[in-house]
Amino acid sequence: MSSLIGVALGDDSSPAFGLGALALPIGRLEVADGETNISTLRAAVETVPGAIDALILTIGSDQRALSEDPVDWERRVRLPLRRAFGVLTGAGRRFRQAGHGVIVVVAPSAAIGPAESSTPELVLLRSIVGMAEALRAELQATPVRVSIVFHDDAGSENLSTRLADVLATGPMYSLSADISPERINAYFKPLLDAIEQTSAGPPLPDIGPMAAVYDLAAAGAPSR
Amino acid sequence: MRIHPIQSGSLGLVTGGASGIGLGIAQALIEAGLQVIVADVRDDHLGEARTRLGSAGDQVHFLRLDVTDRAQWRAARQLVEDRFGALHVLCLNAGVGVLGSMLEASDADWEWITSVNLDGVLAGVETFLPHMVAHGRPGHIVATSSMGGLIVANDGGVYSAAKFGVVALIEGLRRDLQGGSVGATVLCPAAVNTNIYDHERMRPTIFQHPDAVRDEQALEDMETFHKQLLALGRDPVEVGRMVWNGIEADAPYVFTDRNVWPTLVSRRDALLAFA
Repeated sequence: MSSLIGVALGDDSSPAFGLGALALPIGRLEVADGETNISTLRAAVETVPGAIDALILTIGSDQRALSEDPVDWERRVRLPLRRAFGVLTGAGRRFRQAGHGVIVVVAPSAAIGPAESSTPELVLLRSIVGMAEALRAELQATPVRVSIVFHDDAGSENLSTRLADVLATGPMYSLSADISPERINAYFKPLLDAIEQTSAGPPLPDIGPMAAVYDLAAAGAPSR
Repeated sequence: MRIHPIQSGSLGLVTGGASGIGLGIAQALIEAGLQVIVADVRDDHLGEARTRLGSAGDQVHFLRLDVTDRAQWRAARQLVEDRFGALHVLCLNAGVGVLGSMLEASDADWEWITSVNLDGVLAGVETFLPHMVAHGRPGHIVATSSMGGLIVANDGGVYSAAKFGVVALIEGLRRDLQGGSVGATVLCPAAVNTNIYDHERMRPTIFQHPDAVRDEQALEDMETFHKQLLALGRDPVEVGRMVWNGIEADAPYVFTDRNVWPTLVSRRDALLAFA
């Protein structure tokens, strides 16, 4: 890994502290606040001069209160989601063309688990997680890797160490300490219970490996 | 948990209600004794729904509604308040099932898929939730997501980004509305026998690629494949009844196929492997 670029999204730049501690040359890509044109955002990433090995998109925590009335969905969800899409797919296109690269999304741990953050933040974070997982799936047949690194609000964890590890190995996830097995199970249990209460649908032909990206080997999961 | 059951004679509104799962939901609400507004952007589907639901007489009403248009949402609320007084069940079902590469997706692709699948749901909540909370009578919001809102494939990134958001919206609303008069449920269907395969053909002009040349043969082949596959899927009316049962039970989630269990387990297990 020789060089990387960082892009910050959102009002809070707290996760950026993890980038500063990396012993790597880091360029910062400044994207105008109001820029939401996907082609422009992609071009901004694709035309960064020089060799780039990684792009890190950091998403800060939304510090607003749980209830905001009325909710500004445009500012809190639609615009940042669109910007994330432009930047991430710009990096995917650049690295696919180059034949190598790592894309890292650094997101608050509120994205995983039962609803705790405000609803607009939850919608934004989950949408970005779905986007990042799908980008990893789309690029799975290429040398490009996409990772999601979750950070907690306390900021006490060693984010820079985890980032360095992710940049080296490209696993699907790196979880902060607050995303415990209990928290993961607490989120999935009601979903799986609801599925178990459902009857089986009509049998369908095999249409291929849906959810293949979650295969533990493909995800780069640590061996136990 | 919502505090009261939905009563017979309540008013429901179903977006994307004139075909597929939406029509199935509309039919199930009618069977349950609700007044139903079938809202849809497609005039041809509204015409077909009028014929299909004709026996419901005055119990069913039809409204042309483009869920991406805020002005039309405001007009829908005005219609409800002027003509019916109150809305009790809001089913935010309108969606487009367009897949394809994220890396090749155009601005227009993103705009269309997210405008309908996520913004259309947010707009419905913004428009009607304050009204539903204010009138204080039992109410319920159902949003249609997808199994693609919980797990991803390699050709549906824009779709999944929107559908993941819809699942999160309902989970957040359930927390926000806890103990009140309005409940919320998210529907995550797997294969259902709908017309989702022909959505590319209904793409509005404003969401067309400015320089795209459509490969008619490829489009036709894709439609034929999905039509044949979905013909094996669950009946939309059966799904509609599952949704009604979910509303009555104030269930957080409604699924349509038990066979999806292993795929969701694979995502849970992937996360657990890193914990």
